[in-house]
Amino acid sequence: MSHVPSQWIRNLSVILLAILLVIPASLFAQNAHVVSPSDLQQQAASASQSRARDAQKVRDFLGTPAAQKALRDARIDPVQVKNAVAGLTDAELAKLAARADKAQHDFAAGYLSTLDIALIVLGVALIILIIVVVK
Amino acid sequence: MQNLRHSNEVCRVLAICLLVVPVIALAQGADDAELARVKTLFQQQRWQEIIATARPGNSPEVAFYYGTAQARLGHWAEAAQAFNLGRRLAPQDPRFPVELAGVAFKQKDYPEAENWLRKATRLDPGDSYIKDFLATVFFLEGNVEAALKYWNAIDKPHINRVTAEPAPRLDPVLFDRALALSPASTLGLSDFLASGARLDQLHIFPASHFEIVAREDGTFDLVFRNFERNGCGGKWGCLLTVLGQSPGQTLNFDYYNLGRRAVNFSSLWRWDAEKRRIGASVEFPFARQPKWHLRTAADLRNENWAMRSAFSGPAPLLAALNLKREAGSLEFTDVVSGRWRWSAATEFSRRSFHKILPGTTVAGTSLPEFLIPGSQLKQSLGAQAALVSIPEHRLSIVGLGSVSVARLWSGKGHQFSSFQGTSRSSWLPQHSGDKFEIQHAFRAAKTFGSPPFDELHTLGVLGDTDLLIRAHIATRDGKKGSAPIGRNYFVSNLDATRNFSLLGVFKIKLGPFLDTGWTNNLLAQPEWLWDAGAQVRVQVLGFDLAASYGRDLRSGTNAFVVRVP
Repeated sequence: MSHVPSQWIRNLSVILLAILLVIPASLFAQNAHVVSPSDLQQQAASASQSRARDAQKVRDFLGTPAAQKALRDARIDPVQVKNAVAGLTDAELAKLAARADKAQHDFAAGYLSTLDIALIVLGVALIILIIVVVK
Repeated sequence: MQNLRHSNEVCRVLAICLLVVPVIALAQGADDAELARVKTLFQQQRWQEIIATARPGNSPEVAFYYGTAQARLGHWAEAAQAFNLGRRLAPQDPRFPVELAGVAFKQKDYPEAENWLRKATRLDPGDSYIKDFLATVFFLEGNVEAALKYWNAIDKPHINRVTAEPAPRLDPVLFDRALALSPASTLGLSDFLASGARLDQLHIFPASHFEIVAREDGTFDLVFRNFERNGCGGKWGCLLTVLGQSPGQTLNFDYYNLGRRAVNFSSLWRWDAEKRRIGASVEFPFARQPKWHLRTAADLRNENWAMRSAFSGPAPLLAALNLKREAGSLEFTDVVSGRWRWSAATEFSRRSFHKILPGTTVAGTSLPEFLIPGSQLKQSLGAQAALVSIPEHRLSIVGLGSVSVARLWSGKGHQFSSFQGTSRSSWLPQHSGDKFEIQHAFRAAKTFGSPPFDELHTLGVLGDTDLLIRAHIATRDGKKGSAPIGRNYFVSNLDATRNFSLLGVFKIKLGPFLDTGWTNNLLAQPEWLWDAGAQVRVQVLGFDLAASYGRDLRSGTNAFVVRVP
């Protein structure tokens, strides 16, 4: 009876050894990539999120009460401008988002007056509309 | 004696073998031991110890683990150095270019990563990780077609949702039918291209595009970034369209997406006394199928022609005439897929010639033999196909061929047939963006039978010709007839452009061109035309303007032209 477990262990060891020999070294290396498949996934998702974030920043900027008032006073349809944001390229969105971000921070810090922010809003809205018309 | 010497030599060889083999075996054993130790350290993620103890020059395996350990610690230069060393030791091992791509990717150097991955693909074409990696790099570079090509090979990307932002005003039935793809499935490149081609064919989405949005769970959404042309294009857009060509004594009026059915109306009125023209067309998807497209057009012309051999300098009047032409046409197009389409057209036209000054016989033919008045029915059949498409190299060649057969009812009756072929190549040499672009087009046609004067082909610039030879202006004093005109032609246009964009507001395309052409010219002995120069194209506020300076390399004549392309 005592032979049975040792026989079993011996067989298992042989099988494990065989598996280790059969598995190519390259397969082991596959899991050791500098960039893992999940890194690839994350990077792709991050690039997409970055665009969505920039678009949201621009839309939020155009949705502030001061911006809405400025657009209304200039008789520019805010919905048309917000819709046009979707037509911008990633690079254009990134530039406008940075501009909007800075303007909002400066306004909050009191560096910009309501008139200044209105002019910036009109500038951004005009750029968006022109970009889309040019296309 | 000989046997003895021979046995001595054998003994010597055996002795050497006995001495050398153990040394090699010992060295091999040492290498194996080092590799085993490095592997163990690697599994235990003891990167510093690997770097401290491993000798990457000993074997490609050790180089691989050493490089990976360096990469894990963010030592990108050292990692690249080790992988390059491994690559030299094992040039056929795809792991090294893959990991070199990884090092570049981590540093966000996507073009470099792409180059390494292409090398890896050549070494191991079936590896799914390499395909996924390469596709992701193309995706991050904005090259969606190339990304889909490689993802499709591993049954990716899985699309969760298909949306349009903002929602189009177009009839939802038409929009859905235009999409050759569905959510909760793998997005195929052919379906992606077919959807784009069908939507393009509607002519109401000029700046719209599909965007693949990657999600964190590894799936994707497909978003149609919609910029739809509706009506006249708004107050300002309408004004720009109408007045955009007014310097050329031309007004345009276009109206898009009538009744939300992608019914488009386009019209033109030119009041130039030397070449009056009124044109209008209506186009719409046939049977509410975006892949089928019907276009009907009317074109009325009243033009004064003054045939001369040059557009400037002393050039005697060779012949003159007034052409009145009325034409109506119907064209059906079937967008079979994203790669090819075919079309069939019928045109009924009537022409008459007045104030004819036959002038001198030119190039062995007399002008009057082409002045065939009367009515004509022309049938045309054409096909367009993507001949070459290598999205990873951003190279495409599109071919277009058509055949036309026409019959005129005039006197004895005339008939003619014409074969035309076009190839358009485009290459964006950079990995992403469109800063630089090389374009080439060549066009050729041959006509059999007796075509009327208005079916001849003019090579030049201006004068309603699209067979561009940019140092040969086709009008003189506003009248057509100063550029080569003939039955058969060959035209080649090579353009290299540098694109500038000022926050998208101004788009400027600048670059040199080389035009080559030949026609069996009615105005002079046929000869090859060689024009070189530079062109700038400015797009601002919806207005598109091209200015070119060209030099005729044979005669030395210069031409500066401003035109609306």
